[in-house]
Amino acid sequence: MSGKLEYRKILRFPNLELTEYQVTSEETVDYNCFAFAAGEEECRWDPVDPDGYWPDGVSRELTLEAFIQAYQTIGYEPCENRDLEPGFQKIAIYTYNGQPQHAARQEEDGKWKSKLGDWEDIEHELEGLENPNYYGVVQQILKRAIIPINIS
Amino acid sequence: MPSLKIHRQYQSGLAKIIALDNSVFEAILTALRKTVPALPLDDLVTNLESEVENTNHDDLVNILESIIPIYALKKTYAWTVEELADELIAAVDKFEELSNLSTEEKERFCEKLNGLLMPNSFLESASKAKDVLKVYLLPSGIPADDFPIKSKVELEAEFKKFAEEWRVETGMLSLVTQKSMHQAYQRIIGMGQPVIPLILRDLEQKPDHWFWALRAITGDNPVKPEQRGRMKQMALAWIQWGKEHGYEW
Repeated sequence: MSGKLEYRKILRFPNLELTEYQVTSEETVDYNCFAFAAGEEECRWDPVDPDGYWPDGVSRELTLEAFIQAYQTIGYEPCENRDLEPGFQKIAIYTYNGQPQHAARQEEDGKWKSKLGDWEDIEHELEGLENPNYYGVVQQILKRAIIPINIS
Repeated sequence: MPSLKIHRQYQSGLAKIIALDNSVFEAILTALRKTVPALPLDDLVTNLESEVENTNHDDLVNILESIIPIYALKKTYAWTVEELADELIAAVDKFEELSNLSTEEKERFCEKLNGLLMPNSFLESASKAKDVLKVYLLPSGIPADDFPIKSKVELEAEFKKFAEEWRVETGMLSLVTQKSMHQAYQRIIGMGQPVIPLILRDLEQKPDHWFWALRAITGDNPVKPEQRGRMKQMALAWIQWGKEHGYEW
């Protein structure tokens, strides 16, 4: 699966066409960007929807603090830069007016990947999805160590 | 937009709604959400009497007789809550007995209208609404028998139109709370109980974000905590709920 988004979708994210990106999945509502960033493709992470999944013990509120705490439950911690660091996975959280609207995860090759709402997953540059109308700007980077798998 | 005039016999009902304590009004709405649609008024009152404390039979009759046509008006003219509230307040201003309402009392009335109209679908019986309209809130200049009642075909077309508009305009959003605030989604919620089979049919064909609307319309939620966030499981839970509650689609 690769290619470009339909024109009607591109209109929502004008920066995408100014940067490199490619579609990497079909459309689905099964998961959202916050779940995808956490490596989950069977459910939707949503703190403010009573029917959304949210890690136990984390405040159900649309704040950056609550999202940091949610990702901390799976080993992520705040960090300062978005550069690729060997041995670490990273998540970028976009906020608009301080409220998280989107999240992307960094792949092993340093490229970023995320799910556009109910639309497709795309591989993209972080700036490509920055947008004053929807996702806002990247506000926070998180990282966690990749646990090596021993194959004997 | 037609302007309203309110029949004198129902002034006391509206006055009671305005004066009613918010918690009692909430209790009435909660009880109505559990009520089978299109019950005769007497049965509705009997059901509510067992659920709502601090009110009496005559008051409930009075209040329900006022609520029914308000709901019907919203459906008939597809007014937004704000438009309907504006119209009703303007009409209330014309009552001699109610013309001295304070700003605070008018705000309370608006709050109650919001609670009444947005999540509630207790009376979708077109014939009942039409009958009450004949004697109650008659838009001036429109014959009493000329209230368009939506057919099933019209309802389906409206649902399809709003659903498409909502999908196109919110597809990029990640949070259901933001998707569900879209005007087209709210219009679907405003269609009330008759739209439930259409939503369930849509869910059966392909899971989508209808759970917020279903909760708002029915006041119920069959989704178990362990199913949260899992669209296919939540869709199945609501489809099962629909079958258990006698819906066909």
